[in-house]
Amino acid sequence: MTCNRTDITQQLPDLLAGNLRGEEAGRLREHLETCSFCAEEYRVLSRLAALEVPEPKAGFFDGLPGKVTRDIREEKTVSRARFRLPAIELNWKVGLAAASLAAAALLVFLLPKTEPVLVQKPDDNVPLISVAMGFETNILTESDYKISDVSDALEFEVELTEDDLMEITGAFLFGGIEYMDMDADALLLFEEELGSIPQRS
Amino acid sequence: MEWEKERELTKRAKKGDEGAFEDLVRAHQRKLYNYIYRLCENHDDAAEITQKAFVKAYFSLGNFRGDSLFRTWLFRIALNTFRNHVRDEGRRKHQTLDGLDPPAQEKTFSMMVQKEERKKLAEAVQTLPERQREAVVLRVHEEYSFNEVAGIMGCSVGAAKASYHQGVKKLKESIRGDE
Repeated sequence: MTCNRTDITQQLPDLLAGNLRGEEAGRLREHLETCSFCAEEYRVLSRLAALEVPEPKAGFFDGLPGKVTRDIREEKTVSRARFRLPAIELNWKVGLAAASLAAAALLVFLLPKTEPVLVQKPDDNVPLISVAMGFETNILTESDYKISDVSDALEFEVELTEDDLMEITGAFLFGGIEYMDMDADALLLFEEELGSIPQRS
Repeated sequence: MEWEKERELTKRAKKGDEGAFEDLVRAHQRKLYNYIYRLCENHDDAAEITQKAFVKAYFSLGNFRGDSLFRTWLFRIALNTFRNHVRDEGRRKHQTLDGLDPPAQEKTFSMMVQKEERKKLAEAVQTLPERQREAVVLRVHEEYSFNEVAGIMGCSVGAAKASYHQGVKKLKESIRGDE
């Protein structure tokens, strides 16, 4: 038993939510009377929609805005601290990595901000960016995702080891970051962070 | 919340007004919590993810251009937070549905039947692969259009529709098996 009327099945949630009116709703209801496949789907969706979320622990919603504000303040303090990173010893590998990273960032900066920067990934074996920089790997590792919130991705947890730096630089230069769409604020932060790397010696 | 008021609050929050952001949290917290709860069926996780998502949203406000609703934008951040949470904590594999109960309540027969029904359905939803679950919850519970679902999930409209249809198909099979 099946039905190939995807125009109907796709609208069943709208019918259920009462978002369809008049002729449109009538057309769907008429179909449901004659199609057992769609009628069953509608029943399942109805049961699903009726599932209520249990009330959370008492006081949860009253306390949440305050907790969020507290976390924001803490995060601001931590962020300030993060930008005063302990010096790491520069050697030729770190220098090379920092220079490459700066070059890659300059490339990102020079391209128009409205257009995503596309870095082709040469093959599937290139290691993807590490979490050390706060990148959300699930965004970066799935080809159908773009980074929509760069500040989400760039949290600047840059307590970088040499290996981290090499990995990040490699990801920039040789693939791994497939799309990068930075807005001006995120770019500025990123540049600041890059600028801080050579000063750590 | 009215669109104008929300826009004003967003604008103030962008400038660092914590009070304005708290108002935004108040306006959206229940919707967001319910959404995350449906994805994970666990209060503690839903509470933690909701809180984290709001904090992330605050620090991402600079990227909010207002070309989508604040709620839609917030849901996208929350979904990423949820996905990271699942990945980082590995909690999905270990969680049970035992934590479903609302706070202590009178256990009448009809409530027990409802609870059983809820548990079965919730279990069926939880057995769906992540993307399918996300698409079903966004479409059925949150009443988003497929375009919006795709925007929140970060995939194409076609992929969102496919995930939704696969999810509903599995739910039908699962519920049919129970009857």
